[in-house]
Amino acid sequence: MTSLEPADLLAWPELFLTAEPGAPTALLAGGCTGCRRTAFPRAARCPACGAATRPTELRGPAVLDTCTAVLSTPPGALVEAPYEVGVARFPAARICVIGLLTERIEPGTMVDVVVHEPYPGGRTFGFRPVGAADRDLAPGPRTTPSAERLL
Amino acid sequence: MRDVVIAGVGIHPFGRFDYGYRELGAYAAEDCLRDAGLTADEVDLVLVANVGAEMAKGHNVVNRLRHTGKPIVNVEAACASSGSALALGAALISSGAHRSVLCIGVEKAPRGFIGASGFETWQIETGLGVNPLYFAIQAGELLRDTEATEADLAEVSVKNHRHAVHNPNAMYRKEISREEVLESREVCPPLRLLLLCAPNEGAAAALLMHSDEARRRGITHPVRLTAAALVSRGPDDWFVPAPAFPVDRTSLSERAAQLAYEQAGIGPADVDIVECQDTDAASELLAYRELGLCAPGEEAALLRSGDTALGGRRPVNVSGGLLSKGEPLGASGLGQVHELVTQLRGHAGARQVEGARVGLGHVMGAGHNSCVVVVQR
Ligand SMILES: [Zn+2]
Ligand SMILES: [Zn+2]
Repeated sequence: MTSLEPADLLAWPELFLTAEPGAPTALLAGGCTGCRRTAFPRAARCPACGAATRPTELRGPAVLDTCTAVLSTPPGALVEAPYEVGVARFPAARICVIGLLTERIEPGTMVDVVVHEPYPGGRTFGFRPVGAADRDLAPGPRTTPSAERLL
Repeated sequence: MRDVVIAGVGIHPFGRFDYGYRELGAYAAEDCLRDAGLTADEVDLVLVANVGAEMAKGHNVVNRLRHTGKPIVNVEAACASSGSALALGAALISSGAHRSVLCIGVEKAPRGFIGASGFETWQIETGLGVNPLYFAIQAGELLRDTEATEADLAEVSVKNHRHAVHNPNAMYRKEISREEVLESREVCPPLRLLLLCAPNEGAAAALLMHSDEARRRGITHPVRLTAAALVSRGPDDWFVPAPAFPVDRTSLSERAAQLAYEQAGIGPADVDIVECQDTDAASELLAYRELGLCAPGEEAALLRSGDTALGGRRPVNVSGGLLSKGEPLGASGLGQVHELVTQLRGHAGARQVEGARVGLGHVMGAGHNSCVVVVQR
């Protein structure tokens, strides 16, 4: 086990790789060298077993498991309601992450992790249907690949 | 767990009032002390459960009663605060450290969304720091993975509101229809306004006592507290405010229930009456599974059977639950205990569960904590 310095606990870990809004990105997670669990956000030591973690990245495609929405703006939020929220499942890492959706997405849809601008100048991660970037550029049927076809 | 009895209970109704938390708490405490036939100075220790008030809140409540010089300790664990006070008080009596512990739960919650639930700044700013979102995710999973429908969710609320008509301590005492629930404003789909409990104000108290002390004082038919099991986040748990969870996650409530059954030396089949954390309607259905009242996937079937309604085999939330009483966070668990003790004494009037001998109370709070208590006659 590598030692954890008390100072390691002072910094809040970065959540995702920064890029321009709309660009694919990765969530910055920690993979445990002991129990193999994945933690998001990343922690220097595995919260489950205490072993050291190594940086891992959670990238799409992930499966959108459930979705909901917030219909009135909560106190302190800079994003304005209504907005969509969903749970993306990363099968290989065996972890589910709650995040904003770039649009209304049906459960079971495959999603990418992208940089999202939820309010002017704001940057966070979001989940977007796989292929949506191409779809938005080219006219045609608005379909997104389903989990069944991609997994 | 042996030797811990509940020598008295007290309550201030849940609702909205034009006085402060100190008055609410003192009222419930005095109601409890009268019930037990004690005065404040006869109590060895006071534990005060509260989430949102000020510094030294318990001291400010007790100051309304008497300046006893005895220790007062404040306990906070979100919606499981008063469950935590009960668990701590019971342990101190079991260990012989104290003969009597007065547990008071009190809250005067502001209107609207519950703030300061432990979310990180990034969650709050990006709109993810909102409690109903988390309950909506659980509700969505329940609807996806089991036979439960939105009509079942509505039926939980209809049932609990029907129960509350007979409870003078509840905030909403009017029956509502399934249509009213399903037509109420959407908050976080599939959850609607009438599928969610409202944070509010209220207080409740219980006087815990060693059984020897109760006997000495001539408290002849006390209700026994046979379990007070408290758990926090384990490696694979998930609740407010965590932004991620393992694919194969586990349930804090299930673990607390198992521990409580072990402490009491009983199983789910022995329980006659349940008060559970119905923060939202789906949470009550999930509790059926987590507390061992049904097998996973049979939550809706149990509801539809009528077993969990007043008059059924094992009624759940005959007080009206949080959906009808409202949720004064620090007081909700002791409110459940007040109801269970009233039921076990046979004093619940029109909402009485006939022959109730074993009661179970369940709370679940932000920050990952759950408490399950068992009371027996
Ligand atoms: Zn580990
Ligand atoms: Zn005097």
